Amino acid sequence: MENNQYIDIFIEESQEHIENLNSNLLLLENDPSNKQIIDEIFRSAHTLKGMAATMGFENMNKLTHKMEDILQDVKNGKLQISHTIMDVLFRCIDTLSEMLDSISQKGEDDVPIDELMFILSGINSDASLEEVAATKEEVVDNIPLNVYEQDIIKEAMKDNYKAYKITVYIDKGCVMKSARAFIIFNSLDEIGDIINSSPSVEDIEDEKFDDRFTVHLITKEDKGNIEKRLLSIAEVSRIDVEAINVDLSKEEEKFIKEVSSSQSQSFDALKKSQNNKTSKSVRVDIDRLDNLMNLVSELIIIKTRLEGLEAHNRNSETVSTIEYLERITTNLHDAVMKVRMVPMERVFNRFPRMVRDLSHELGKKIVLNMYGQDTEVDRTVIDEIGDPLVHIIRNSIDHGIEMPEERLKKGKPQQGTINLKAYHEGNNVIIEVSDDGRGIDIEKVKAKAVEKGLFTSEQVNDLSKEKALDLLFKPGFSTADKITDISGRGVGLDVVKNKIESLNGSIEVLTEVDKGTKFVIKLPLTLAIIQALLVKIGDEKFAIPLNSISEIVHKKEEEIHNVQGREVVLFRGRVIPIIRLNEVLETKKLSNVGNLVCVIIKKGENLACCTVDELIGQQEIVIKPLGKYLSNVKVIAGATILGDGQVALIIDANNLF
Amino acid sequence: MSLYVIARIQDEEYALDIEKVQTIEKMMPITRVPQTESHVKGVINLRGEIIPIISLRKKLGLEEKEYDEDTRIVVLKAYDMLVGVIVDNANEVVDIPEENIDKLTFSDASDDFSKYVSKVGKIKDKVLLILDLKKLLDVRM
Repeated sequence: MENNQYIDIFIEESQEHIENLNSNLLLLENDPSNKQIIDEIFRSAHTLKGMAATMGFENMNKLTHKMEDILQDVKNGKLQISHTIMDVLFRCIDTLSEMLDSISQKGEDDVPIDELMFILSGINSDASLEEVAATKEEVVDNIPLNVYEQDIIKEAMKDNYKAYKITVYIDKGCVMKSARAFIIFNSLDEIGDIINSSPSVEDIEDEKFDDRFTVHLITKEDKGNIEKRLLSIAEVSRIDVEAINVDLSKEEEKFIKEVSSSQSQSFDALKKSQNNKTSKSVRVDIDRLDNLMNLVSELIIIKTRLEGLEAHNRNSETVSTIEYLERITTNLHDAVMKVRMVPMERVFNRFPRMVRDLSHELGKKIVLNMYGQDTEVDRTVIDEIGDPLVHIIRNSIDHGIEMPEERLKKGKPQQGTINLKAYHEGNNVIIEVSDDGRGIDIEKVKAKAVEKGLFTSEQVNDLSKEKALDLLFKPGFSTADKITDISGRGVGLDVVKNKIESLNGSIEVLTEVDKGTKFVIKLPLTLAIIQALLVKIGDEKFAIPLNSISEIVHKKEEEIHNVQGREVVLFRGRVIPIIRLNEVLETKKLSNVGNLVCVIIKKGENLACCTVDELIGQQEIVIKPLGKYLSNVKVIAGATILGDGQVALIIDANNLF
Repeated sequence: MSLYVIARIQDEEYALDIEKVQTIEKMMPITRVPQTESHVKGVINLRGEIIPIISLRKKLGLEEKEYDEDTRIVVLKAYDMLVGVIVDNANEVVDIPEENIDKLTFSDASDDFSKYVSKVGKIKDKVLLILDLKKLLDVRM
């Protein structure tokens, strides 16, 4: 299919519009009389309809069309926003996103819509509207003139200009319709001024028209001349020229007004939204950005090499040139990194809807406050953090926030609050999810641990609060009294924790009974560039991510003890295992001088002491994957290219022990 | 037309489908990767990209040889991966007509030598062993 190359763009843009619809509907629910929001919703629905129609997705087209009708009624004040209408509109959006999923998987929008269409028809009893926007052909033929355009024609007519409505039919077999249209436009421009066209000029340029289009022209030429001129252009099959008089009969005027208020307004809106998009952002494939990133890292490597060469040859001219180069590469690097950053908004956007639906379902009253949506994070992180957050928020809604009556009894406001916060902290981004619900009952957690056989009842009593809360992240651990649809199957928090740790992040819980619970997630800003400690093991260089290093200590060989066949060492009162990296990494064993350089690595609560032969220093490194062929090497997280072009492997601290 | 890059190992000539050959490089420093099989020599930095390198000699069960001026890394792009293969020499491209290519049907392809060869091509009196990349790169599909 010819459309194939556009399908990705279509899917992405539609997704944006659906997101947009979702958030605007939520706004509308709280502020049903806000005209601006209704307009915004209408615009999104209209654009979706247009895109679906061009791509040939019938069901989607039909559904958005119906939605548009309802929104039109709302806009005109014929229909009052009610709970039912909101619910139906939300259902429409869900169905639309189902369709989109189906399109991206199978290339078809075969989601059943009959039931929804029926409900929609019930709401939208006004049939006259359907006629107005009935078929595309009719729209083409009844190209509306808005008041402004009518004024132009009136003015022009005073100066002896004539106005014509010209419909141009292009040969069905014409291959480059837009190019042909361009020639026609040019030729018309020579003899007069084109006031407007249907479809819009943009659509014609994009070949979004069948075999004809209509324009309004003011000119001094007469009808015959125009026809002659246009018919001389190749591949034009027919021309209809019709003189128009602005002193239209009353009936016609009324019709035009009615149509133009809906149609042209939405055309304007369409144009406006397009303009906004082009001026604000450019869509770029992530692969291209990665490529750019690669090139920049290479430039940095070459620059470092150049600096090395220059050290021998002290020439003030080259020194200043290289310094200049250095400044540029640093700036370039920063700029490329910034391009890859996206605001947290992308993830946060879906939560208001989720909170709304779930709280309705459970009969709870919950308000969600979001802060720091514009906090920027690398693409790689954004794509991964969504699911864990969904899980935590669901937990808060289901387990955290109490039922309204219960809250009143506790002297809390009926409405529960969930706060979602994102902010930067150094090279990390912190995401906090807090609720003012019932909190986590530590005693219950402990009891559960005993029940599961994780601890004996004596052991449990010695557990600190933090330790006990950590149990929540154990697989299969759930304290929910009843298992609900939403959460409580015990497959939640351990998955969340794993995910976050695989992103080199950490998660923490703070809770107080009847006050609330707070989850704090800490993630690196980017997964592509990290701070690392370069070390020498044997005669090879390795990088250890800095965020998995707790500290560096020196130990003597005689401080190592053997416990049950394992080497351990005492570190701050704790017994921690020794990992001899030269053995794990199969490097040459250097002659032991009895003094060990130990890098203390942390993995959650656990520590391990890794021996290395030499510390080189801290450096910012670009992580590159080892490639699919070597994807099963567990202890290596990737590779990086050092200043001299050498490759250094990155140790995956999470898989060392 | 089916063009093949000729890679020499010992006295044997192996043919690699030119469509799958990304580039041929001279020997360069290889960074060893731990916990891998013996035929994996490590990774190289090829113009900013990390590429795994395997030794064809090892893979075919032969003794390894010192790298010299003629040693080449043939970088293959196949099955969604980039892998460099070390060969003794690679400086020739031949055209093997389709009709001169025969499928090999070994009753038991147990020895390393024939495991990675599924077809042979003939040019005049020479026999070329066409490497099966799917098997060479351990693609399980």
